[in-house]
This record gives sequence, structure tokens and C-alpha cells, in this order.
Amino acid sequence: MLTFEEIYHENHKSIFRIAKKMVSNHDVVSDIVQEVFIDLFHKLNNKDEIRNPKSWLYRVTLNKCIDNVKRLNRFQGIETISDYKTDQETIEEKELKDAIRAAILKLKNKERMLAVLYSEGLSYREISEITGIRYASLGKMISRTLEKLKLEFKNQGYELY
Amino acid sequence: MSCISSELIQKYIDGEASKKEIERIERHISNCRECATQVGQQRVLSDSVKKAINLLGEQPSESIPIIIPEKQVSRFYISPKKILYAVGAASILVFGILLMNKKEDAVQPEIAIMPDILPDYDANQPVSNQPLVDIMIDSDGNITEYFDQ
Repeated sequence: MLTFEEIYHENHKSIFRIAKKMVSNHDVVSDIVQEVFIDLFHKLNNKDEIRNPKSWLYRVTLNKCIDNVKRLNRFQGIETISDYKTDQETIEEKELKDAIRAAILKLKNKERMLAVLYSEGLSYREISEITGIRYASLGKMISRTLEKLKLEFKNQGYELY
Repeated sequence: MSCISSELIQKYIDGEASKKEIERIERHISNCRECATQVGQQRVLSDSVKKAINLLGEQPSESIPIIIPEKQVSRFYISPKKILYAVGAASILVFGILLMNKKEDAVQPEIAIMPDILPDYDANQPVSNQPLVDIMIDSDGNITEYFDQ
């Protein structure tokens, strides 16, 4: 069994990336990533068995991100598109990212998780283990999700290709 | 010839199709321009969506610090697993005590005492003047008679 430090070093960048794709606010992303690894630490400390740490981390991260969006929707009605702009970003880049994020937010939770995991280049088997979606259904779901995103991108004024 | 579904095309694009499925698809698209075009379009769509979503996941210039808690667990913290073990052990103990008490009850000796009048009683005398006998039967079935003096 890997140690906490080993699991952290192997996965913290991808966990951050996943959270960033799901949630716009940088501070919220930091909090979520922090929480995920603290949960992992407690689980390992209590000698709870985690068969596949990577899948566990991805699943917990995605669920926390979805909870965050639900909470925001409850209080604000819409998720706030971040006005967080890095120094390296131009206004056009920021607007593009906002359009992409708005399109992704139109998806259902399962579809959003699927799109994000798909963009990470995970195999169908890995995606199935993380999301609980049946392996045999993934081809169809991914195909439909991509078509939906293409339409949403178009609605946001963003042509994919 | 029947064309291939978008679901199967997606599996093919993502490298998840079986050997048989790959052969079927490649044989088909070599003869069906429409399906060949669809495969091309779906491949471009998949790549474009991945590229777009990956724009959102760009890493910050500074890494996020993770504050790793100290290894020792708070002394007031009791894990749910430990609570479960404690409840289980207590249940077994209580069950054992109840079982022992039941066994003791079962072996508790039972003694029956029955007062009776002797067969040769005087009917002209009141009951209070009649000689009585107390018949005692113990748990082993032994009978002892105690005569009133």
C-alpha cells in the first residue's frame, strides 16, 4: 500500500486539474483539493482500505465539486463565472474559457463528470470505475455528451472547429 | 449494407473497440463514404472537446500548499471502526452473562411441599385437630414425609 505522501505526489496535479475543470473559482478549487487530501489522510490513518487510490481521489473530487455547484445554485441561482483572471491570460482567453465553462455547466452532473474525465484521457474502464457508469454504456454516453457540448459551445458563440 | 452506429464509432475513435469491431468498422468505412466522413467528424469533435476542456485545467504558476495534518490522531477522536468493535465486544459480554444466568436458573433445585391429611383421619374431628403430614418432593424425585406432632 502506498503512503499518503506517495499518493499525494502522484496525483495532486491531476486532482487540481479535475477540480479546476469542474469549478471556476480558484479559491474553491484550493479548498476542495485540500479537503480531498485531508479525507484521504484520515482514511489511511484509520487503516481503511482503498483499493485504487487514484479512482477514489477522482471520485471524491468530482463529488465535492458537484456539491459545491449545487450549493452555489441554491443560494445564487447560477454559478458565478469567475472573474478571476491570471496575469498570463488575455481578455479573449478569459472570455473563451468562460464560454467553455458555461457550456459545461449546462450538462447534467453525470455528463459533466464524463466530459471532464474524458478530457483527461482516461480509459473507459477507469471512467466506469470512477463514475459507476456501466462500461458497455460509455460509448453511447460519451458520443451524446460530445454532441451536446458541440451544441452548447455553438450557443455560447464558440465554434469548436 | 447497414451503417455503423455513432456509439460504435466513438468506441473505435477512443481505442475501446474489440478486434472484431475494428475489423468490421474498417471494412465498412472502406466501402461507405458517409460512415467514413462520420468517423472523421467524430474524431475531430472528440479532439476539439478535449482541447477546449483542457484549457480550463491549466495549472497555476504556484502549486497549492496542502497542509498535511500531524500523524497522531487526536486523543479525543475515536474512529467509527473502534466504536463498532467496542459495541460488538460489549454485546458479546452481555450475551454471555445472560446465558450464564439462564443456565444457573435451569439447575436451581426445585422442591415441592404438599400438605396432606393421613388416610386414617377421624371424620368427627375438625380439620385443625386432624393429624397432618407434609410431603416433600425434591428435584431428584425423593419423597420425604414430615408428620405433625
